[in-house]
Amino acid sequence: MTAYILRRLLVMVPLLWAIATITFFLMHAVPGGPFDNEKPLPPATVAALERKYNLDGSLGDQYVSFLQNLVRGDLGLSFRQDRPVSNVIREGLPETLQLGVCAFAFALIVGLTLGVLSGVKQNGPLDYLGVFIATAGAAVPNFVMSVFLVLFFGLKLGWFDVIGWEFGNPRQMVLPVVALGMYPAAFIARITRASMLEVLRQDYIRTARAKGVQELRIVLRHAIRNAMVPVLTVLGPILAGLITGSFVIEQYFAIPGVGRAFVEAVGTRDYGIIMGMTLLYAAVIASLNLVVDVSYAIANPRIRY
Amino acid sequence: MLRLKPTFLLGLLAILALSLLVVACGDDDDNGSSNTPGSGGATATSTGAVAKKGGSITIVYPEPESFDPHYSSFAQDIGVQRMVFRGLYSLDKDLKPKPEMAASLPTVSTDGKTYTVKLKTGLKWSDGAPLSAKDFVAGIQRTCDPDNAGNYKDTISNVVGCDEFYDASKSSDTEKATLRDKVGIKATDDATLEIKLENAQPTFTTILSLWMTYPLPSHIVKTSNEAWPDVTKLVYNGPYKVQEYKAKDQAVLVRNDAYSGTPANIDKITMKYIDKLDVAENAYRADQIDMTRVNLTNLQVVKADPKLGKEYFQVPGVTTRAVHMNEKKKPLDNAQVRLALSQATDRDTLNKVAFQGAYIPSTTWMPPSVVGGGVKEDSFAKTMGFNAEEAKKNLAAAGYPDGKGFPVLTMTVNDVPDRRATAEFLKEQWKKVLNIDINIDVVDSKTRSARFNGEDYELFPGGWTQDYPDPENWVAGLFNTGGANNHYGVSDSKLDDLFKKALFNTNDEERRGQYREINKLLSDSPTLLAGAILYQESFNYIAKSKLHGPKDWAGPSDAFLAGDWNIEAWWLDQ
Repeated sequence: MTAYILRRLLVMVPLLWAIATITFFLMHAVPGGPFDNEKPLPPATVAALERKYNLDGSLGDQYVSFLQNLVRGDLGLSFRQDRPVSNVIREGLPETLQLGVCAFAFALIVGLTLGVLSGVKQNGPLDYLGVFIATAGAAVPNFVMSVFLVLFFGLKLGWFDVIGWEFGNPRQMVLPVVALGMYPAAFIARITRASMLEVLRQDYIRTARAKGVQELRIVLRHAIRNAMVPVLTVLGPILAGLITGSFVIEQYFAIPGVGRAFVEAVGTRDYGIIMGMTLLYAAVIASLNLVVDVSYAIANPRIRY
Repeated sequence: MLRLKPTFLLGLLAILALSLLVVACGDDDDNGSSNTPGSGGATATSTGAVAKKGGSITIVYPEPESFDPHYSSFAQDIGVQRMVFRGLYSLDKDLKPKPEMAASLPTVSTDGKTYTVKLKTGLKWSDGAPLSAKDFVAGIQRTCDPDNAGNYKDTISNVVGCDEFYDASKSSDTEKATLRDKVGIKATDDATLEIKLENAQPTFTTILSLWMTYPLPSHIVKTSNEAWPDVTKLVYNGPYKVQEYKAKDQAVLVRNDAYSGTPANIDKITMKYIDKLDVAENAYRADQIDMTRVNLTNLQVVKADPKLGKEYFQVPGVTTRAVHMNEKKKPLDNAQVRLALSQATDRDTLNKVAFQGAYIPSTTWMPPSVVGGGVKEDSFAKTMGFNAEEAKKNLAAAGYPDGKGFPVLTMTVNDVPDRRATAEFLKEQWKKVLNIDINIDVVDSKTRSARFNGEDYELFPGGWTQDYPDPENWVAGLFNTGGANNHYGVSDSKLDDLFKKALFNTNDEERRGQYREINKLLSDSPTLLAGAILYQESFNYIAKSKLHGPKDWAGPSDAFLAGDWNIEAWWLDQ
């Protein structure tokens, strides 16, 4: 197992290098540079700016110096904010992580609860309610959900703030977390329900019932654990998606996370931020995939690496 | 090992539900904009009401790129820089320079090339350190420093040695240091500055009131090319200082008691960095903020709202929007074609349909507040404004009767609502009136700018936003032959002659008259050099009725927000 994890970690190095290289050249191939403003700058100013930010060499030279700096852990300067990229990421990452992890916890709690209850009480009122919530949650995109939540819970009832993020302050946390976590919650609920239904029809469950084991004990001890394997498969990508995909929510609730910085950076051709964030997101996704693969082996002892 | 049990999950869900209920029943006092009692005192305002001191406000503001006045080029940067820094002079409501850090207006030598400025006594930075003439020297040197790459260096190109220093980006550090010392500004003593110009420049005192000539706290930023420090550790000489700053989140400004002018009324200004105006409007309705621009798509709803309608106001901006027509591309080199396109454009309907009536239809390149001389928004409407019959005649006379044989031109726009709406409207109208087709090419902002800067466009909905309130700023570098930002393909000997005369004309009335003539060349037939002028932008705001100032002081000196150039005069009902 340790050898497997090490091997996977080593493979991440060329993977990240390939992603960095592709992004670097694609980014520079897009027309328009960081200093092509709505209001044009005089050519002498553009020349001075390009020199200041080391953009005056050939693309090959820039690539080589980018890689050299990257190895040293230096991601360069953000042109748009005139300060180191690492500072921008360091300042915004806690909010993005907090938001992503809270939304993940919300999705897990709501999704698993709904999924298990729907599976156990199939075709009952609880099941219909669960399926309705799961379908609605999956059908309504998070930006529509945000508008609804803000209008109703923020403006009409005044229960929550409509902008801002302060960790530990429910007035500011509930709406963005629900808006971001609703879709994955619905997704987890549907998978859990399907998986529960399948497991509950297995022979060993029938055997347990025949032996007179209590229904609650059957669900808790035997069904849920076995039903979790397919759910586990999707949790890694879901967490990665929540951490890397919170841009819309960050913007709608004016949360100072890195998701906003990333999307803005693409629009403003802030090359340093684009590269830094791409590498960060790639590393997050690759690491979480690794965690999922390892967790298979833990959940299902038959899987060996 | 996964050992979550359903009872555990149900418990967690119950806790979550309970915490929602607790929050729901919690207090609602936290609206983020409470008024704290001030220290008393009062000053007169433009409206005659008595301003009160104290209180704090939260406003929506786009995040600045930099707080460095010797570097930036964005309006939001300049707006906040003026709140925390001040120069030798400030423009008053009539755009006349008044002494700010200077003790009096400058003494100008008879040839107009040497300016001597005396500073007020006892000037201080916000940390209490003395502010002396050498800080102003350092400020101008920083703007001219190639390593700093000041975006507005061109505005002070007339200072002796500035261009030579700026163009030496590839020179050695020693050479740069020599060139820095040769920049034509020096401190003859702690309170006296001497500035040498290449040419007499009638607008130079105005320039000395602008951000690129602000002083640099040289006891903190020691050389002109040093990186700009953390803004919370920096010192300031304007009415406010930065107390707190978090990227993408907010900046908090508090009154700077060391400011030498009239002290600011409001104690604390929190600037929330919100990107989207619909989000800002939600926060305004929830009382989390006190002032924001209004989302145009929601303008009618805001105006009709019983509460918001009363808090709404509109301010004419200093941005002119036009469809530029690249005169290096056929058939746009033909002035008659440009005229036909201009006459085929119904500006009133464009404003009503595309912008919900938010803007001011116009046919003059320079806004009336800048060009003066009785020019109005519709001054050239008779000749180049909407006239379908004339448009058809002119297109026919240019060789394209009923649009026959007219090439399909491409209009390059970025994906912002205003620009797209303009393009869609023009496409439909020109088809209807002139029977010609255009392609709309939607690109992102940077691509659009790159095409414009490379003069790789045919039709381009663009325009100009003023940097400083003088007609010179609407022509210099833009339309003169060889101008650094002349991407319009314009080269007109009459305009060039007038511009040469106006630029260094010390007779102010005559100079303004020459710019009015240039404005006619740009806006009116037969030349129509700037293309089809469409409208003057205006800004739409909502501000809580307790806040006074933005509306009272709004004018052509605004950088980003209404009245922001005179932030110290804003005040709150207590």
